[in-house]
Amino acid sequence: MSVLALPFAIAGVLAALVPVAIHLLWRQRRRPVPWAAMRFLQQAWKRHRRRHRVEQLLLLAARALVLLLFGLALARPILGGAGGGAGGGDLWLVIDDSVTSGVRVVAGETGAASGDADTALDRARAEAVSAIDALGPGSRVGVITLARPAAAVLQPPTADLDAAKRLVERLEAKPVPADVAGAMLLAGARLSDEDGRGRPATVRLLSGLRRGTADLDAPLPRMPITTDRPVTLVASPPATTSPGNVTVVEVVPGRPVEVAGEGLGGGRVSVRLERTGDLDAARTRVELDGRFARPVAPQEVAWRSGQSEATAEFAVAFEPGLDLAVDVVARVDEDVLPAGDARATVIEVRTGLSVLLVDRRRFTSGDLERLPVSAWVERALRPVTDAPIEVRTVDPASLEPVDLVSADATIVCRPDLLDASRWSQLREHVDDGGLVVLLPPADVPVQRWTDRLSDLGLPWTVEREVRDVDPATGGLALDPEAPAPPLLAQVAAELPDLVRPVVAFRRLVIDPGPATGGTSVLPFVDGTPMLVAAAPGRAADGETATDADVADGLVVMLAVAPRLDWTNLPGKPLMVPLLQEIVRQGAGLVRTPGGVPAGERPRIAHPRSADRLVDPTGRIVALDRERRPVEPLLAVGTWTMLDAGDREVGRLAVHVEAEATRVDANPIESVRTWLAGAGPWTIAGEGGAGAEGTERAAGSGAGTIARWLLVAVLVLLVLETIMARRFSHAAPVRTAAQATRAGRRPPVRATLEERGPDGMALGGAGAAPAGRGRRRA
Amino acid sequence: MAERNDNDVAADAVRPGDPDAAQAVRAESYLAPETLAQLSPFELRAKMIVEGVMSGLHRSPYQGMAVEFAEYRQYAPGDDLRHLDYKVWGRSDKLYVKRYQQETNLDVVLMVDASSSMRFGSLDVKRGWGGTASSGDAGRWTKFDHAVALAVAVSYVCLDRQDRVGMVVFDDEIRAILSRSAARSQWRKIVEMLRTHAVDRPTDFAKTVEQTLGKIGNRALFVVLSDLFEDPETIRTALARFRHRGHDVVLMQILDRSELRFDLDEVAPFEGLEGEGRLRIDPRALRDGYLEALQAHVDAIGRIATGFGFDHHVVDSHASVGPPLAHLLARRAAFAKRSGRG
Repeated sequence: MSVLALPFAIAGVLAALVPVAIHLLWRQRRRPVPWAAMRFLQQAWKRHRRRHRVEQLLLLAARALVLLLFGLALARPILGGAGGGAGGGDLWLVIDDSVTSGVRVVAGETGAASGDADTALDRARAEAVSAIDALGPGSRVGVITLARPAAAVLQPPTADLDAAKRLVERLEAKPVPADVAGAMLLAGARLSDEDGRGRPATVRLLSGLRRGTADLDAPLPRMPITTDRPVTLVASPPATTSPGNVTVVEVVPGRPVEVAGEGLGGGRVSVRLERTGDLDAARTRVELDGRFARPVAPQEVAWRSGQSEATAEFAVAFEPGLDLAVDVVARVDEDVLPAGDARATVIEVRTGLSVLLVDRRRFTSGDLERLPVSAWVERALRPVTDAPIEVRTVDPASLEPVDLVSADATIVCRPDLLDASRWSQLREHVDDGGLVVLLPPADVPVQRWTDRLSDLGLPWTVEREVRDVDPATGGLALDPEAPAPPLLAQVAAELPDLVRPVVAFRRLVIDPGPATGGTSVLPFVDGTPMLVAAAPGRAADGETATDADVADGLVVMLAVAPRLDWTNLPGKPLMVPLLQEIVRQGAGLVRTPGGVPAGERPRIAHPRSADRLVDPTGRIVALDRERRPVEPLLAVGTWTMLDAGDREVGRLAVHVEAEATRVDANPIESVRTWLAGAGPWTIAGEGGAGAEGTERAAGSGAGTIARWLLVAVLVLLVLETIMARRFSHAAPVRTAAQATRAGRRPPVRATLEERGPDGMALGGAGAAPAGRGRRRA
Repeated sequence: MAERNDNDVAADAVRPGDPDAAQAVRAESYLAPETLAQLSPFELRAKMIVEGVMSGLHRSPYQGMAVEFAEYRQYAPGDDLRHLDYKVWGRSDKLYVKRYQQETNLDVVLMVDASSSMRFGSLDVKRGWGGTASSGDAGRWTKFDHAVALAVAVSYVCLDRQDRVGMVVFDDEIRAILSRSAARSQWRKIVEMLRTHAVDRPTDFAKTVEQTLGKIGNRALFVVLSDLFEDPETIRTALARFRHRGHDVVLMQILDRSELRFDLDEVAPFEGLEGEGRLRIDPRALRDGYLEALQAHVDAIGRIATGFGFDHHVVDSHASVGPPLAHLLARRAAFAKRSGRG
């Protein structure tokens, strides 16, 4: 920091001018000295003038430079405050306000701040305020927050230090991960701004850099510092303790969409817990809240020493007659990081589902072998008359978008009869979150319609020819050892037994392609899939879709037509759970994402009538054209979706990313190496820069300049003194002896004063009046 | 004022504690008794044979009958021992020399510089001392004051030896002339003339010499009392005129001690007294150059004077009048004796 405040600087400059003013005034008032031997003075002056001018110019330059540098050293903060190139420095505070910053600081932890600080963010705020207080006038402060996405909340840097402090003190921990990489890029860009050219800058990273904040496996990008201004990078000492913390990382309902029918609906909810930091044996109480028909008793998880993950299973029952989304919140005992102690999810409770069959009705012969596919499907979906799944059938030629929107799932039994426009409708429906199930038409030997799969953005490759299985083999069996795809997760336990009796006599050979968009398969024993499911890509034709660019909906395809001449599936126990799970689980997957991480801007595809979102505190966030919130969703909990008429049309759970809640400390050496990837960071308290060194490094990058200026002033003063003495010929020379000693010219001798005719010295009073008068100029 | 003897003059000359008395006899204030005491053993001898209008102390260029005893005079260092009267020495144990050669008197013309540069002085004086127009209000002992003191002392010595003394006061031309006279009151007239003379004009030594030589017919000893702040070539021209007319010249260059030493310390504007303008300088920085220039000037004048066979002496105006003048007289006597003219 600058050791000289503004008032002192002004006073110092004025004081330095006082002797100059006195000299000038005195110079004006000097009375002329009458001098008879002027001709000799003039001769001497003519000879001496040039040298005298050079000497005087040197002296003037030295003196002016002394005043200038002295004033500059004192007034540096003023120049800096005016936004000039030189002067005070810039301090960029990168403050961790991510979810991890809410961790309660353990007493005695390295770097723990005052007793008032009870969270890491409190400590960071206190350090930031302290650093700002240490700055001198003219210094500027900018603030970057670490919560994703990293943002420069105070830029350009301001010289209003009080305002900066107020902003810092208002910072709150956000339930989002840290974006250290983004902050590095942002800080680098800000440091390269033109308005700070020439000013020394310090970036101070105020974070404990726990594992939730700093993912040491992800290297940091190099800070794009393109300026030649002196930059100091200082990070707070990383946290050194790892307090135990339990986080609810997942609340998984048995089905995202519970079809309760008219009776008492029920299901399972799994609460997955993760423990970080201290892994000693402990117990954690888990509660589950929701609109249940019966209270759900809390459970207690007994952690063994070293155990880091656990799951609590709850059986829940929903009130009858519900046809809405139900919030379910899992909570654990409060610990050092409350943000991870609760997590919500939304379970859609429905009295029934609507399935649209796209098939062409025709009269059937009653021959079981020739029973149409749609008949088998309908029987599987409605095995009993009061089943909660309603089935409607529409002819492929009359399929309209309204039919698709009103159905929870669309099962296309005759894709070969869909024209191009209908395929486009299907594509749009899937993009908007629809569930489409494609079944091969049983009576078509060449399945040309499979060429349309690429129109849906699916990576699958399907042979047109129906491949018959050698009858001698008894049919192609399903692989009972294959893991259950997500669609069949609810029947995963029974799935091996269910698939074992199923064989296919004819089939389409499907190549599922790259596993993008959540492709899942139920394979035959030869590895080819009997069932594939994927979210189509949004990419344009010919391009490969990515995980981040997929439709909200889901496309499921069977390699066999559920008809007895293709497979024995219709007659086997797998038929009903297979189609029921495809519809129930698929509808749940496409409708309810199960929650979104805080800080995201998820696409709200379903329901299509949703117009805006309301956070748990009642704050409204509108949706943009892409049906994304106009700002990141930061409030953890359940959000309400409203349509244009302010009617609730759905709910959305927003939760904290589990990875972001890891509070265990990173090794300091690893942190140092990690930070070095971004730039020449130093850890406060080590080496050249320290926590206490923030003052020196930042506010007083300019202070360093001031000190050098003062050193230059001292050197110049010494030089000026030497020059002034040499140039002024100040040594008194009044006698010949003095002149000889000084190497100067002796006075002119009077030839009639020293000695008398006898060689003796003559003296005494003469005719001149009494006494030797005082020598006067 | 009536004629007085030497003791009367000496008694009136110095009364430091009696300003009224000093005011009443200002002319005497230039002759201190110490000065008279220091000068009394010497005679002013002309280095050259001068033409006199009356018998005196100086050897006449004209041969005559009067090579006979004239008087006794107390022995002075430098006197020819051949003229020592050993009989008197044996009787009274006192040294006397016999003077028996016919001698003529000496015409001495004092040329006093009254230009503005002579108004300079740096020696504070007691109230009542000095009293010329140059020092009246300043309270300083100026070079002009010192010139007056020297003029009075020389004239007194000469008058005491019955030489005729005249005076020319000049600046850029002759401002006043006092006819030569051997009257004892002549020195008082000198003082009266100089005391009230204005000292405020520039110098033109060559012109003044020209005018003076036009008024002096016979050969004489010219005692120039000036600071000689003139171009050396001008002085050379003037002295050549003297030499051409067969005159003897003593140049007494009167300089103030501060001019000789230039030991001033403070930066100030220096203003010339004869219209040279103003110059703001640091005297310490210019001291060497100034002294070099002054020394060169003094040396040049000395060389010129010596070249013509004239005397040149630099007189410090802060020093007493007596010792330098005694020194001058002794040197001239010794020189006259060595040249066989004494």
